[in-house]
Amino acid sequence: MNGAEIIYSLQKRKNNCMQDFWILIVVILLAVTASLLGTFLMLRKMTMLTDAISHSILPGIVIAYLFSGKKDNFLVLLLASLFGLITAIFTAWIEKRIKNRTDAATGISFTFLFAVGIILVTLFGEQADLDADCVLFGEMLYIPFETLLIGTWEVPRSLPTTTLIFLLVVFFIVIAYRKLQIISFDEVFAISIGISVAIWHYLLIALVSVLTVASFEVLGSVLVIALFVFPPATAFLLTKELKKIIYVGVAISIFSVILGYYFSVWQGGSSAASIVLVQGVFLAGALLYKKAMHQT
Amino acid sequence: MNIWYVLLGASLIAATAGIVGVWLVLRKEALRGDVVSHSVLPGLCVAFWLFQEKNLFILLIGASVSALLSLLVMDFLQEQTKLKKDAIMAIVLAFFFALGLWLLIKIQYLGNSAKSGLDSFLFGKTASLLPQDVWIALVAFLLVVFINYFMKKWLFYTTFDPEFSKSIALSPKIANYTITFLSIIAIVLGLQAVGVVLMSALLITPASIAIVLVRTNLSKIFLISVFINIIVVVLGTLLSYYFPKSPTGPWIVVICSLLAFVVFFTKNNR
Repeated sequence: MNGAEIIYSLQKRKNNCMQDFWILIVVILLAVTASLLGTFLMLRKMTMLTDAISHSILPGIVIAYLFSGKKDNFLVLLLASLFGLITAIFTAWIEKRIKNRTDAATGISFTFLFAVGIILVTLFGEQADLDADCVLFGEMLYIPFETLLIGTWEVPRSLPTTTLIFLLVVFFIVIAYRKLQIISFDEVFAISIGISVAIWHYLLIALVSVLTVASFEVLGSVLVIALFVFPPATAFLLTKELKKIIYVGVAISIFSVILGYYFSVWQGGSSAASIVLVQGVFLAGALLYKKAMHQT
Repeated sequence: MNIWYVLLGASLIAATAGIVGVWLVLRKEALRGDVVSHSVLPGLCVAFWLFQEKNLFILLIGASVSALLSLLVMDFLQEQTKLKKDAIMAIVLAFFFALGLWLLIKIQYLGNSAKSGLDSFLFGKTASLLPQDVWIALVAFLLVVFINYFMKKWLFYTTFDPEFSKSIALSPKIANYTITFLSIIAIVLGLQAVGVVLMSALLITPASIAIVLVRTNLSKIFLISVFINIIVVVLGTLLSYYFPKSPTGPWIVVICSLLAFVVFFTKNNR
């Protein structure tokens, strides 16, 4: 091995580290944000709504791509998130029509929007640089290759958006913590002391939609749900105190992203799926731990 | 001649989904179908990996095994934890689907040319139905009709009057497992036509239309649900003949949903 080769391989190694670093930062930010929102979704029994939203934002994404020709802009985020809200309103409308069957209403509305999205993808996918596979799998490994410059720093282009959403959600939860807590545990009481449940409900849904759109490209349409549900559910098995659920959930998100990512580096396969598998292992571990504690 | 086979097979698949869907919607377990249909993916992949061929029968067995496993995991979590039903569904759905995707990408990476066969399960392609698949669909359809016929009372009372059914010793657990078994058959069968992702529409949407239209007469609900489903699937299949680039599933779902919106909009429920 001559000098040039050594330098080359070192440089490659260093680049790899940087790439890993950016991927991990972006995905951890997404995962932590999802876990924060997921806690309240879980308490309000709305978890399956994320499944619906993550499917039904697809037409919004395709339409926005077609209009703007670019993936990385505000329009995509706005228009696609709007479809998340539309799903929620739409579901509420159908629900009234079919005698309060929430589950059926959810199923009807999101399968419709997702089907429209898939048709749009197959018809116009080439212009919009999208294909059906990427809808399902996400493209986490592309994060470090699409960059922009902030001052002299070269950062992944998803970083600013992701950070902004993270800060927004933290801000939302800090401000509305008491209200969210009351709404989540006792809606009737919340109404009786004059909290307008509908506003907070739709704000929560709006934030979930924005985050889902931001994660969509990275994780694919189905696995986004995992980020919302696994960490809070695992934390819920270990503790029943809301603050602790939030902290444990955040910790689990961070660890599962790191472990899952390096598992996929080591073993191959999809990185997004590996993260979910690790989260599943955490959940099983929490369950076993609880059982063991129970017996002694 | 091929198109007649395809249409017959697709109609049988649609009819099966139409029957099972009514029970799922009436019992407020519509999203359970969504979970099961996502959970078949790892089973499909393992079956494909082990036998290295796209034999529908083997794939169906693989799919059934993993669907059954997902339901057992759901029941287990429901009994062992205080997690709510929706969280449990999301957990099982995401985990099984992730496992499936992980395996699928592995298979792709190992360079299997027949991977394209698995792709048609993701979004559905009725045009890929073969004559022997039609026979499997026929057997499955008859099985579902048969079980439905013999278990009707049982399913009826546990759905509409749980208290009464307890008093005459009809176990809700057996009814639950029957529904589970029926939905696995319907879903695994329907994968060919509409694919994993949109299968739940085939179960939920026509059944909901039928329930809104009829309301009280159960046999009529079944008939209408089956009827709507057959028409929609046949239309979707024909469409996918003319647009070979786009998969069948989405077209079927869009047609069916539009029909649902018209019905919901015109039929005043109050």
